[in-house]
Amino acid sequence: MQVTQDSFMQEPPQDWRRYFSFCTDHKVIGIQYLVTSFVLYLVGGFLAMLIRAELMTADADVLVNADGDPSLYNGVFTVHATIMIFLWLIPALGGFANFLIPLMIGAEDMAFPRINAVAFWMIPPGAVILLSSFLFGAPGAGWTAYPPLSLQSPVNGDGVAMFPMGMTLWLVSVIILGTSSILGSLNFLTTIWEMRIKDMGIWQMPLFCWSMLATSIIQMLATPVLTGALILLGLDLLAGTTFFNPTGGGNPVLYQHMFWFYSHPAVYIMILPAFGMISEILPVHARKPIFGYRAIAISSMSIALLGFIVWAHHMFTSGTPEWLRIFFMITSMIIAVPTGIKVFSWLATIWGGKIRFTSAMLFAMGFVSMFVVGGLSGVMLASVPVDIHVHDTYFVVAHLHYVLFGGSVFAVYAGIYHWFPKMTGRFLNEFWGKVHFWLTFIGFNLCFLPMHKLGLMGMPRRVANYDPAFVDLNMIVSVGGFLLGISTLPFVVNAAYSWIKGAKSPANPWQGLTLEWTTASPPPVENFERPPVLTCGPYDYGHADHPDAVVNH
Amino acid sequence: MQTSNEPLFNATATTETAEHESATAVHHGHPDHRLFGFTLFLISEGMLFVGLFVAYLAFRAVATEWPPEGLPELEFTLPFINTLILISSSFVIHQAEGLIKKNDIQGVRLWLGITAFMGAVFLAGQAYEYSIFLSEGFTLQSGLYGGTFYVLTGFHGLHVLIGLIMILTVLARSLKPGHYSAQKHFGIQAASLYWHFVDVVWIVLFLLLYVAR
Amino acid sequence: MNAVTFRIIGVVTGLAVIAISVWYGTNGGWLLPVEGSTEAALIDQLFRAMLVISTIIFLGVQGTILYSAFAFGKKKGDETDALPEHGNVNLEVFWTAVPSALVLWLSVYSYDVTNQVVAVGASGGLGCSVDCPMILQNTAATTGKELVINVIAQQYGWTFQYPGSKEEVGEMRVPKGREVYLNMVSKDVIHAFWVPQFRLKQDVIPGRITRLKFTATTPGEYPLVCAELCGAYHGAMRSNVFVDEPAEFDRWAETELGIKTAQQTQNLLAQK
Ligand code: HEA
Ligand code: HEA
Ligand code: CUA
Ligand SMILES: [Cu+2]
Repeated sequence: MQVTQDSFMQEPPQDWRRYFSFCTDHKVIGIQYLVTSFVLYLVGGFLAMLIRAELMTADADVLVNADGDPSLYNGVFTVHATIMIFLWLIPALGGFANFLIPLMIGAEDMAFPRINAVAFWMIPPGAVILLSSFLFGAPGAGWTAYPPLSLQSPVNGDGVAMFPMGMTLWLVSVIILGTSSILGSLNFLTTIWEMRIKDMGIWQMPLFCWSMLATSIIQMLATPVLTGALILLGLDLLAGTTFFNPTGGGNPVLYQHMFWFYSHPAVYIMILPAFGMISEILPVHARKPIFGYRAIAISSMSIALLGFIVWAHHMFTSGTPEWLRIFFMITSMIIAVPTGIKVFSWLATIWGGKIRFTSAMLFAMGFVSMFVVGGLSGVMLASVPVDIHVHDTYFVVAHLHYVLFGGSVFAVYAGIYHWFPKMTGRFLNEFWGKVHFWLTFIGFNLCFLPMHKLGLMGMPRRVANYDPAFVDLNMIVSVGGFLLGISTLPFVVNAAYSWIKGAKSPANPWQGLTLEWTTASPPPVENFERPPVLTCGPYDYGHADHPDAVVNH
Repeated sequence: MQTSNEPLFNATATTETAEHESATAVHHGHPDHRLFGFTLFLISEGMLFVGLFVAYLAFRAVATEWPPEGLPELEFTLPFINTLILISSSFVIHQAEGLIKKNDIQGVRLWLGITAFMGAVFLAGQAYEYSIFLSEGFTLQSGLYGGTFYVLTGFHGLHVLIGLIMILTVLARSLKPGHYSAQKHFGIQAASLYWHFVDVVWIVLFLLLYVAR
Repeated sequence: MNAVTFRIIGVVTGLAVIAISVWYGTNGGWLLPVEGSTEAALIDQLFRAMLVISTIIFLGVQGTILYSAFAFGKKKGDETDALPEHGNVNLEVFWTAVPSALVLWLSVYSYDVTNQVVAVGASGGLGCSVDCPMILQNTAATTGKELVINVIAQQYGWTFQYPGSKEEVGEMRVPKGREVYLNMVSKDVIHAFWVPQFRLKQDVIPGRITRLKFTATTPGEYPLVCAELCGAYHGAMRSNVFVDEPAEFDRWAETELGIKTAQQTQNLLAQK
């Protein structure tokens, strides 16, 4: 079915309808990713609100069915996490990359526009399949889906085992979303490696391109192993094989190795693009070059590579042999060094700058501040004796939210405030941006800081009921959680209103120096009227001869 | 993509292509990166097999008896012949790739046809081996031994089938005069690269399952 | 404010940060439950050391951000860029070397504590289920002094077998000061044996034996929490571990289980 490029693209709808069409323009696809994943973030966040409602009391009394069975709670946090990872963060960061990469390297589009559109259009079905699992009894084995629990079929009223529809739908949707992520990575790798304009060598390209290069390498190499693990798990679940089923001689710990071989690199898939965006935003709003460009670029690659040999730090208590735990402890701690280089470089970037406290800058500085907390708790978890105590407790839940929310989501918010004018040609309202920031910052810390103590004092994770001694702390967490939920409302209103009626934005509202700021806002379909010419480096702020923007002759 | 008038577009593109010394072929007016992207895809697909092979080795390493009592040994001669067929078919498709560079479209069609035939014979051999085992009650559900055998050979067979379809599609397109030329034959390059990939995966599989046992 | 005063202030704040961190780190008592085992004492010491380091880094980073926010905000009307500073090799070497040294020290210290605390990984061949011979004879790579207890986990309860008694009891009691060695097996899915007061956790995996070793020090009743998602009532899969004085333990063992542990306690006390 050789559909010629042109007939297919005859007259793409120019107005809002193009966002609902199979359009191959990377800018449309980028916005499709961002809007779809944000809606799914609200759904995932709504589930989090249910979790916090349940955990306001020590007993399981909210997410329980008629006879008090709290399986629904397990389903809610499983789908909460699966949405937040596979349907919010990875696609949203993919949306930024799709919109920005071609513009930043002076290209007209991605290397494979049609594959790009196909990769996006795998997201909505993946979401529908995952959410429909609630109709059949949602999968309740966590986003980790460890067998043999994930292989146990649900039992109906009178004790008869039913078809495990919930788990099957989870498997199918994660495999679809994983494949979409692989296709995206092939596109980004080819585009960044092959389509930069002539005199933009790898050491002249923006750091966001470096972080997407590292991220795509991880996606390309790690995701297939998850697909393999899920195929074997699916065969155990549906075809009577016993790969991971101990009753048939299977090895459940092997599943954990295969799962985490992907899932640790997956967390770096979720943070590296965020690192890249922060390295783009801080210099613009501090009016100062990024500090230590090469070190930051190399640290992205080293984090990506090191990320492949740390996975068993999630398995310190799975009966893992002694020597293996020691090895993975050391490799996991080493990652603190390249990450530290990034953090210190960001601090050195804003040091001595002329900081404009735009909403984008507030979230970017909030990112650096909150991510370090999550990183430090990560290094504590990497130490075997400490992890033996806090594994599978709320200390881990605190760590993951400090790096995923305090990290990636703060960076996504910063990215939206920073590039919204370029994407829509209009400004977001700065006042409501600051309201959004402070509500989020306070709600975030109120919600996730107490979780460290809950974990250390003895509250396990993934429980609907807990020791009444922890009620007070859980109440604070729930209040913080609801505040976080409320914090998204001013943002949603601001974004919707500003997209239509916001103040008009010039081509280069923040006087940035990367190529996306040298073309119109929003950019024309072919991105640049004439192929752009590099007149200065991406971070040459403060050089006398370039007052503010690249002269596009 | 480009909806503006074609001529302007081509003008800038060709100048840009001229400067871009690495990419020779042009696809829709800009350098053709499809082979680079396809190679990355095969690396990614390779990682799927790496994962499955590691799982096989993890099971095999701790197994006390392999095959477990009551399950048949893997027969050697037929798969060995199949291996020879598949390896030689890689050289055959390589021929086709060589000939397109000389615009010998007739030769290309011939060698593509032979490769497809050899691929079909390989699949027939696998299917035959399956039929015997299944008749003996050795199935996917026959413990880890059965599970790993059918998953590995099944996934590989699936990839051979996809490769076969690719070759037949390319063959059909080569019937259209001028579709493939010395400058533009991505279809043939991709089919050939994919076939080599499938060949390498089979060699690893053959050594692990049939030789090392 | 000239460079000299700036540097003095810098040093003073640095020392203050370290002092606060050491104070906060060393008596992070309010963060941890009571130390109920020798292992807990060792782990808490390591945790407190990490807390000190983390607090120093935390205050350092947050302080730098706050200071920058106040000192380097854009002045009204000044639309020019800041100084074009692209990097500084010495500084970059410094903040690579120091974290590397810290990470090295932390790994060595963690390695040392790991060896003292968790010298028992999993073992027992695959396919070894609840009635597998090793679990029945309570044999384990022990020196004979330890009190070996079999722990059987299942959806959603814990049962225990003491040496010399086939009976699976629902109560776990251990004597203070004596090394306890657990052989653990699951009848269905993965569970995890966790006593927060002992700071120790080990998954209980169907099809193999996993082990845990500890020495209780503080008498009391501690929660035994299942720490691996095992189904709907995972949150309810809790029990208790009682740490008794040796004499009290012997009396319970004899009356409840009909096994003589008193003799073992005598020769143990004699050896000490
Ligand atoms: C964006 C996501 C993200 C990121 C970036 C990280 C980063 C890190 N993570 Fe985390 N992690 C998760 C997401 C992430 N993690 C998730 C989701 C889980 C739970 C999964 C589940 O079970 O559901 C998890 C769980 C997890 C565990 C398992 C806990 C358990 O279940 O028992 C461990 C153990 O080692 C760990 C370690 C680390 C380490 C060492 C880092 C390092 O990369 C952090 C390095 C950063 C810093 C150290 C801060 C900056 C550095 C400096 C300021 C320099 C100076 C610092 C020092 C010298 C210490 N993480
Ligand atoms: C990117 C990742 C991400 C993000 C952003 C979040 C966001 C949040 N998470 Fe979650 N979480 C995870 C990833 C994430 N989480 C993971 C990986 C796990 C582990 C799962 C497992 O153990 O398997 C987890 C588990 C987890 C738990 C532990 C559950 C358990 O172990 O029993 C809790 C408990 O409080 C929690 C809370 C929250 C809260 C309050 C938010 C808040 O930030 C959410 C803010 C709220 C909103 C953004 C939405 C607000 C919208 C409305 C209120 C109205 C709109 C309504 C509709 C559109 C229908 N999360
Ligand atoms: Cu047993 Cu949770
Ligand atoms: Cu990890």
